[in-house]
Amino acid sequence: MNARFALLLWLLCLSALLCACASKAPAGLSYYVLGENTTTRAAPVDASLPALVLESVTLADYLQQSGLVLQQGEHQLQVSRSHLWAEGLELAVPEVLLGALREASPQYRYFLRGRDFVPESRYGLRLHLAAFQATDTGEVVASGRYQVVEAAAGREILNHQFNLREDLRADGYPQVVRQLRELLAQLARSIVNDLPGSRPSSNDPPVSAEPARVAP
Amino acid sequence: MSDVAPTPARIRRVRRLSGLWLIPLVTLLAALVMAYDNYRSRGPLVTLHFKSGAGIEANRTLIKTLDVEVGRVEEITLNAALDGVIVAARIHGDFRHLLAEDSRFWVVQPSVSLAGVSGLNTLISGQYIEFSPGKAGRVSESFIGLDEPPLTPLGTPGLAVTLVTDGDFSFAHGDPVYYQGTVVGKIEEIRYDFHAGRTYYDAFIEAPFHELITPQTRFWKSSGVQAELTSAGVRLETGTLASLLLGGVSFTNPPGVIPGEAPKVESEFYIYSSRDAIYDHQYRESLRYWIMVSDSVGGLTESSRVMYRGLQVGRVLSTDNIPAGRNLLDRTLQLPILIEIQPGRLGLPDTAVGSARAKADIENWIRDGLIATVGSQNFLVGQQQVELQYQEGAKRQDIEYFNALAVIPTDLGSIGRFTNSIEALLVKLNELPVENALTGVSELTRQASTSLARMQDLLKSTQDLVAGERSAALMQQLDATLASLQALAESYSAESKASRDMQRTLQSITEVMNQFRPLAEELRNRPSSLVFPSTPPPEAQPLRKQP
Repeated sequence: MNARFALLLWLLCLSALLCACASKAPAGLSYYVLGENTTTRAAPVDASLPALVLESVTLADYLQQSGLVLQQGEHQLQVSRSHLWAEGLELAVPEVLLGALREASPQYRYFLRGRDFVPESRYGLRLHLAAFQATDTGEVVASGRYQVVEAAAGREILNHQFNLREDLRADGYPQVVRQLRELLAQLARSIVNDLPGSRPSSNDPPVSAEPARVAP
Repeated sequence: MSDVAPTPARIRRVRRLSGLWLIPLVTLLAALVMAYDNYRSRGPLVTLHFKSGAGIEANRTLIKTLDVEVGRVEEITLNAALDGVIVAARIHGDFRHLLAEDSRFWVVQPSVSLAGVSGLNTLISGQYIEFSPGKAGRVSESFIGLDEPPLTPLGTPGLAVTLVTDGDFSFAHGDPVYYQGTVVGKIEEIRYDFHAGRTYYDAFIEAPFHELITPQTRFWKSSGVQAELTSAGVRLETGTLASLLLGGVSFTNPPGVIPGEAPKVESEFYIYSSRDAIYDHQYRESLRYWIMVSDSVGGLTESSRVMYRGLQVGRVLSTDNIPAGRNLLDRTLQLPILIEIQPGRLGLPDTAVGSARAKADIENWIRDGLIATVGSQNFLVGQQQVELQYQEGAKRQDIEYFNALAVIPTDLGSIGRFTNSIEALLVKLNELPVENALTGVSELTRQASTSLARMQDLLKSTQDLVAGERSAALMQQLDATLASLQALAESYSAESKASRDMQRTLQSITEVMNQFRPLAEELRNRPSSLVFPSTPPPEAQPLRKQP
C-alpha cells in the first residue's frame, strides 16, 4: 500500500478518535424564573398616593451570573452548571420586589427608576443583596441592606441590614427558588412596615430586620 | 566384407554469416533508436539556486506548474560557498519553451500566518517546487529560487506602484492594500533609501482596481483603531478584523477625480499617516541653504516658516549648528541656520527637473542680492520666521559656501531698519492730540458718576420690590419650578435610552465574562481539557434539614 495513503488513513482514524473523545452528551439544563408567571390583576392606581421609587438594586458579584448558588459551609459556594436563572437576578429581583411591595402596602405608588417614568416621589429605595441562595444546612438565605431616603429633603430615613432565613420545606432547586421569592415578599413587608406612618396591610410574621450599625 | 576406401570429407569453409546474427543487430539498432529518441525527447537540465534544501529530495521532489508535473529534481548539492544549495532538475521536453529568463521557482511548503494558511496539501503530498513560466523571449537554464512564493503570479493583470514613507511607520512583505475595505493588492517588495530616510514599498494593484489609480490617488496607513471625541460623542473607526491585525495601506481618489487617467510609469505615491492627512500637501524635492545670523536665534525653531513675498516657500531645519572649532563666547560668531526651500511651493514641478531649475534660479537671485532676514511671525509668543527678499540696489556678489551648501546672505541693516520704525512710531505717538483726549476723559468720568448715582437708586427700588410679599411668593414658585426642572433633568439623564442601552450592554458583557471565567481557569490548569473534557464531579443539591 502506498505510504501516503497509509498516513492519510492514520490521520482519519486519529481524528475520528479525537471527535469521539470530545463529544459528550450535554447534561440536562433547568432554567428558573424568580417571578410568578401569572398575570396579576391590573388594579386602578390612585394618582394622589405618594410615590416610592426603587432607585437601584445591586447584587454581590457572585450573584451576577446565571447559575444558582448553593452555599457549602461558611465560605464555600457552588455555582450550579445545570440549574440556571432564565433571567439575570439584576433584572428579576427589582421586578419581583416591586410586585411584593405593591402587595405589601397599597399606600404608595411604586416605580422602578430606569424603567418607568418617575414622577415627583416621596421616598427613594436602594437595595443591596449580599446573599440570595440556599445553604447545605437546609436553609434559604437573603441578606443585605436597604436604604430609604426622603426624596424632597434628601434625608435618609431608614438604613437597615436584614438577614432573612427560612428552612427548606422540600429538596431541590425548584423549592429554593420558590422560597427565595417568599423571602423577597417578606423583605417587602418589612420595608413598608418600617416606613414612617405606614399601615400594615396584613398580619405579617415578624421579620428579623435589625437597624444598621452606624459607622463612626 | 568389402573394404571400402573411405572418402575423405570435403571441408568447405562457410563464409556466409548466419541469419541468427540479425536478431542482436536489430535489437541493438532498436536500442540505439530508443536511446536517441529518449535523449532527444528528454528535457533540459536546469540549475536552481536556493538558500536551503529543506524539503527537497533528489529523484523525488517534483517540479509543478498549476499542479501539473513538469519536471523532477535529479540532484541536490551544496554550493561552493556553502551558503546555499544547487538543485539540478530535469524539465520535461514538452515544457522546454517555458524556461524564459524571468521564470520563477520556489519551494511550496505549509505555512500558517496572520495572512492565512497555505500549502497544507504538501503535508500529505510532500513538498514540491512550483515553477512559474516566464514571458521573456530568451531561454535560460539557471535560476535563483525565491525564498517565498511570489505574491502576484507573473502576468496577473494590474498595476505595480511604488509607495513611499518617511519611515514613521512600516509595513511588511505581503501586507494588503485596501480600497474601501476590500483587499485589492499587496506589498511585494520593500526597499530602503538610508540617505533620504525613506522606505519604498513596491505594491501590486490587481485588475480591475488598478484603473482607480490616477496621479492624484492618495494612499494612507489604514491599520488600527481610530477614536475621536467630539461634541457629538465618541466616534470609533475600525477596519475589518484582518486590517486590524495586519495593518495595510488604503487608497482613495480625491473627489472629482475621474478614474481612467493612468499614472506615469514608475510614479511614486506618498503614504499618509491617516485618512485625514491625505489632503496635506507633501513635497518631495527640497533645496538646503544656510543663513548666518549675528544676533539671537530665539523664536526660530525647527519647522519655523521660510517666507517669500508673504507666502511660505520652505522651513527651518535646524538652528543649533555651531561651526566646528568655534564657540558661542566668540562675539564675531554668526550662528548658521539650516533652511530648506521646496521648489513645489515656488510653483515649480516637484521633480528633479523642477529642483534643478529652482537651484539655478535661487543661486542667480543670491548673486543679484537676495537676502534673508529673521522677522517676527507671532508677536504674542515670540515666534520668528525667515523672510527672503531682494535688497534694492545691491551689487552683484559671489555666493559663499558653508559645509558644501550655499549661504543666503543676511541683511546686516535689519536692526537699523527696526530702530527707524520705532523712531517713526514715537514721533507719531508724540503728535497724538493727548490733551484733547484727556479733557474728553474727564467729561466722561463726570457722566459716569451721575450714571452710578442713578444705578444706586434703581438698585434700592429693586431691593424694595424683592422684599415685598408678592415677590416672596414669586420666589417660592420659582424655587419649586427649578426643583421640578432639576428632577426632570435627573430622570431624563438616568432614563435616557443611551444610558439604559449602555447599562444593559455592560451587564451582558460582565455576564459573558463571568461565564467564560470557569472555562478559562480550567484551560489554564489543564490545557488539554478542550479536547479531552474531564467528567465534572456531581453537583451537590439543596436538601432540607433532616429531622
